[in-house]
Amino acid sequence: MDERVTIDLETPLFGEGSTLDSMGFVTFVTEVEERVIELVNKDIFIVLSDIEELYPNEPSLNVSMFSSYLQSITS
Amino acid sequence: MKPRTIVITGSSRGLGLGIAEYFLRTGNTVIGCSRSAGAINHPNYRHYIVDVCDESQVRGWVRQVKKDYKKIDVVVNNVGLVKLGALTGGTSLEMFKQFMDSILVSTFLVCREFSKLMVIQKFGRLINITSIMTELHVPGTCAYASAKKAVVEFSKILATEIVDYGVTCNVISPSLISTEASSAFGREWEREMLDMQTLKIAINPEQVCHLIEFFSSAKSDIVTGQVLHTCLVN
Repeated sequence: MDERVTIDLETPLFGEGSTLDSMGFVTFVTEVEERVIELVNKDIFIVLSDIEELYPNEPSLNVSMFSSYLQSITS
Repeated sequence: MKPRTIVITGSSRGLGLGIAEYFLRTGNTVIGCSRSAGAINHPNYRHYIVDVCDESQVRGWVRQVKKDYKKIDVVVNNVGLVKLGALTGGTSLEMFKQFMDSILVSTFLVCREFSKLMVIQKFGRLINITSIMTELHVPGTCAYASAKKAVVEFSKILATEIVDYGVTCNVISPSLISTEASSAFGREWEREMLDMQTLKIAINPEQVCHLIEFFSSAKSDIVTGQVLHTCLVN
């Protein structure tokens, strides 16, 4: 959980190829949620099942997909 | 026990109120909640009005609590529906769902949100209150006892998920407790209940607090996913 990793848009965050385990991903999402709230000053909730619905056939969730989802709930 | 910040659900009456008062008396900071206004006026107590069966309310509430208190040490899931049930054949789906929502869904939502904070802070104690009813298999408790038993299983699974992060999750399963709710069922019901237990007296909320205290303290650091019954059944 405290490991520093370098990421790009294709880096898998969850699922196939991700370096985060399930709890690591949940923690990551919780922290991102908090930072996004501070950044956009809007009360948002990241809902994992909504992300899954956006990409039903993808074996993993990468940085690009996750950021698109974040943009959709903050815009 | 060193002073802690303790969240107690359903703290406006009954067992929850007794737990909140006890932990305030013993020098802790207590955060309570219920659907109605709080009944405690104490400098170290704050009451939030929240329906813990409602996902968005719970998420908003936990976020607010985190903003207000930064670190939460202990969460006691006490909220639940206490009323006489019917035989399975006479239990409406609506009634069944009410029990599931108020007992199981509320525990799931509150544990889910607070466990995420506790994993990040790398410390926390989740304590879920169930009931001896989970062992008695009494006719007329198909909804209540099933929901409480599901809380036991849920707690054990959650305990395995968070154990590596310094967070424990345990269950307290008290025998008959004397509260307003239990006395409303009448003396006959109380006598029948006691007949089914090995402990032939009703316990009081303060006695339950001693068990919560154990699971909240460093003395229980190595205990997780466990159910503490106050007695056996006959």
